[in-house]
Formats: sequence, structure tokens, C-alpha cells
Amino acid sequence: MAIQPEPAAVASLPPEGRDRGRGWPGSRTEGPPPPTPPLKGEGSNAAALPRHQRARGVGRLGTRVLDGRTRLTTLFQEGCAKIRLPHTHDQSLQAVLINTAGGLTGGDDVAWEIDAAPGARVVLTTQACERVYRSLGDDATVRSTITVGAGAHLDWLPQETILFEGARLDRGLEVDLAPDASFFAIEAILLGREAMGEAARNAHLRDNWRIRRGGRLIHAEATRLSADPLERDGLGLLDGANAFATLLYVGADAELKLDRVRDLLTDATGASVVGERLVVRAMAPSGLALRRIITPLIAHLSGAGTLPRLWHL
Amino acid sequence: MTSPAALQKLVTWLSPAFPVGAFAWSAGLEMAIADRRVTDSARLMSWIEGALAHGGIRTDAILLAHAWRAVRETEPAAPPSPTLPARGRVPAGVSGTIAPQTQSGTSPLAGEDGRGEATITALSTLADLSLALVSSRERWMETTITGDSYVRAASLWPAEVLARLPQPCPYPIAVGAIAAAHDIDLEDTLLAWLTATVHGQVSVAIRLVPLGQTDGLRIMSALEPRVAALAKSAASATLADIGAIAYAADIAQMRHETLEPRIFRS
Repeated sequence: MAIQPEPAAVASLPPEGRDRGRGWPGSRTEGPPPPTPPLKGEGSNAAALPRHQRARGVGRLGTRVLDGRTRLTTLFQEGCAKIRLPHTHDQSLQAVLINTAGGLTGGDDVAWEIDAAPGARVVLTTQACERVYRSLGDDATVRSTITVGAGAHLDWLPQETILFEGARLDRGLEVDLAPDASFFAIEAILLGREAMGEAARNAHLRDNWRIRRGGRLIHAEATRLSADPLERDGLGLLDGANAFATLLYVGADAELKLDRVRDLLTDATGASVVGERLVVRAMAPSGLALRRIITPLIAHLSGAGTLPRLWHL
Repeated sequence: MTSPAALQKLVTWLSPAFPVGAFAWSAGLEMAIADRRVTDSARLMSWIEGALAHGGIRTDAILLAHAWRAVRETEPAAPPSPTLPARGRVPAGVSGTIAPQTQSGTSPLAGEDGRGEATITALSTLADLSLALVSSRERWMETTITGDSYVRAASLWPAEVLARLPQPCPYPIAVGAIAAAHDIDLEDTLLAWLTATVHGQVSVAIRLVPLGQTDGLRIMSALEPRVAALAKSAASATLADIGAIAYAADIAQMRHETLEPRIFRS
């Protein structure tokens, strides 16, 4: 994959910029989490558990608009977080977020910070599905912090996250939108490896989204799986589904998109518009069935109007 | 022990006859019944248990508790009653022997305006979170219309907090804040509100499945331990404890928007 050749513009943020945006309202503890996770073996239970190599990664990306085209101004990558920028055939900047650790396990910590400048068009995706392996007790944490400037649009399109049996994932998505920015996001979760006949009934998940417009909270997601069988079987809960996804579009034209979205829905999906946000929820028996439901929705709701190429591989 | 004045208000305010129109909303249950997914008592139990343990009712219960606490921590308890502790429960044997003189709200140093501002900010932050967590239009209407009606009806019992409530005021925020302003115990308030909410769901099923009145009462009785457990846990839960996996209920609420014909507003 080719990196956009703009070396003069590639620079890392100054160190004082590194701890921005760490106050997570929905995280496990009351106060803000420490800026860095304990290094390997430093946890309180270090004596009781075998020591494991923990993966840590920080990826940061900043943009500006030049001649109508969104360009890179900041690219910082550390540890297992890598960012690749494939050539695009339009005015947008596409970035591929890669966790080179090849999956997440307990104690791993990855942070992404993305800034879309005023007027920018940015598409973020991942190279592959993120696998979250069995944990010995600690959560794997992923924190994504996104700002979208005036008149800009950002698509947050990671591929599915697969929770393995015994996985523990604590994930957060914080988005700050300028008054006329728009935003589209999907997060899809698969429970267990289908081919292995797994359903990962002991997987734990906390997924908190906080979407703000001009500083005011306008949308929140608080998804939680705590390995209670009722969560998986309850009629009003997952009702046996092993795959589920939430899609969120935020923009002044949300209402205009609803009719077409409804045409694309099946019985196990729903869509609604509340003010300027359009929310879609989808459930499916398998990852493949879920993908069939969500890919036409992504193509319809994303700023790019198509599925990122990597989703087709 | 719940004071007579508190119990009287709870029974009145959370009665189906209190004019909030709660009976007009089904929180997606009408859709689940129309889809032939809730067809009998056992399946109704699963639907309600899920909402209590991992769904919208649990989320609302936690928000109600925070609204209650927001008022208690920023407002003077008025009128002070020697048998009511300022917050929490007094250990057995102590109750009634000390007047709540240590309430922070009665300090002459805390200005009336400052307390009001703090209450307004805290309640409006909770209302924003409550509405941000709502994923469908009818659910948004349900919580705001019910909440605003509750505020209007409860305003016949004067309290300073009424002027400090956010607009619109989500239902759990209204119930928690007003109960605190009238010195009503938090866990009692949660028990009453949860019971009324569960009763509302059972009434929807009695009408639409249909189920017999006896089936409905059996479910109310069977769910008592779960309701009591949630009242207890929600009373001390943090905002970080909020979390749900009510995908099927959320989808039912969304799909209800296009259900024809329908009796309920959600």
C-alpha cells in the first residue's frame, strides 16, 4: 500500500499534545484512567499471573485542505498502531488503521486520535477484522478520539470486531463535531469464530460512544456484555443473535436519508431519526449475514458513497 | 421506614391514574407482540427481565438515582424532618434521635443562587445523557412527553426544584429530582417507579397478546425480587455502570414507527 508522498508535512505532535482528550465518561473507573497503562507485569496481580507481553499503540492523524483536497499534516504512530494512506481517486483522505500486534488481548491498549480540518473529507477504516482474544483478567482497551471541523465530514468505518471466548474489550469513541460538521460511524461485533462453532458466551464488552456537537452531548452509546446468559438469549436483548451492529449518521440531512435506509432494512434491523441523528441497529445469526445487511447501508450513509475497498477483500 | 407523607406521594405520583399518560406507550412491546415474538407469559417475562437487567429500564433507574442525588447534594431538604436522614439510611436505633443539622444545604455560607445553579447544571447534564442514549424517535417522545406531564402534574406539590428542571425533562430525571425535593427515600422511589414501569409493560401485554389479568398479576409477583434487586443496585450505581444490550427492544421501538395499525404511541 502506498503512503501519500508528502514528507514535509509529516510530523508528530509535540509531547504536550499527547494526553489530550483522555477523560472518558463511560470508562471503568470514576476518574480518568492513567495516561499510560501499566507496562508488562506491573499490575497489582503481577505476582499471581504469568507475565505477558502487552501491546501498546498510539496513532494520530491530522489534516488540512489544500486546493479542495484533504491532505495529511500530522502522522504519528507508536507501538503496534500503524496508519497507512492509500491513494484515493477523489478529494478525500483515506486512512487505514492497523494494529500490527495481530489482535488484542487483556492489558493491550490502543489509542487513535484523528483530526479532520475544516472542510476536510476523511474516511477511516481498518485493514481487517479486529480479533480480541481470551483475557487472563484485564480488559483490552481501545480509545478513539475524533474531531471534525466546520463543514467537514468523517466516516468511521472499522471492519467487524470479533470477540473470542473469554475476551474482554473496553472501547471508547469520543467525537467532537463543529456546528456544521457531519459524521458517520459503524461498529459491528461478532461473538465467537463462526467456523469454529464458537458463540463466545463468556466474552465481556463495554463500548461507550460520546458524540458532541459544539461541546454538547447529542448522542451516546453504552453497550455492555457481562457474560450473563440472559443478555444472549433474552427476547428484548440479543435473542440468540451472534452478530450485531450500530450505524450512526449525524448531520442536518439525517431525516432525508431515512426512507432509503428503511428500504434496505430487514426484519431484524431498525432505523430511526432523532433530531439530526440517524441510528440503525442490526442483528444477525452470523457475521456473514450481518455483513450482507450492513454493506448496502454503509454505501448509502457514508460520505464517500461506497464501501472502502478493503471491505471487499 | 417510609414516612406517611412520602408514601402518600409515591402512591399518588406513580399510580396509573396520575395524568402522565404512561399507559399510552409500550416501549416497543406492541411491535414485539405484532411480530409474534411475545406470545405468552413466559416470553413476556423474558422481555421484561431483559429490560430490567440489561435494557432501558435499568439505564433509566440509574439516571433516576443520579437525578435524585443531584438535588439532594445541592438543595436543602425542606422542610427538615427529624425522622428523615438527609441522605441514605440511618442505622437502626439511631433513627429519630438526631436532627439532620449537618445538612450542607442549611449552611449560611451556601447561597441560594449558587445551589440553584448547581442543581440546574447537574440535572441538565443528566437530561442530555438520558436523551443522547435514546436511539429512536418514539422512545424520545415517550420519555420527554411523559416526563413533562409528570412535572406539570407534580407541580401541584410546590418545590423549588420545579423551576430548575431541564426542558424537556426525561421521565426518570423528573421522577428522581422531584422525589428528592420532597424528602422521599431513593430506594423507595426506585421501587415505586420500577413497579409502575413493569406494570405498564404487563398492561400492554394483557391488552394485546392478550393475557388474562391473573397471568399479569402472576408476572408482577414473580418479578418482585428482580425489581427489588434493581432498586437496590441502581441506588448506588455510577454513571459508568450504565450499559445495555437491548438490541431487539431497540429495533422493535424503531420498527414500531411504521407499524399499522397500532394502539400505542411507541
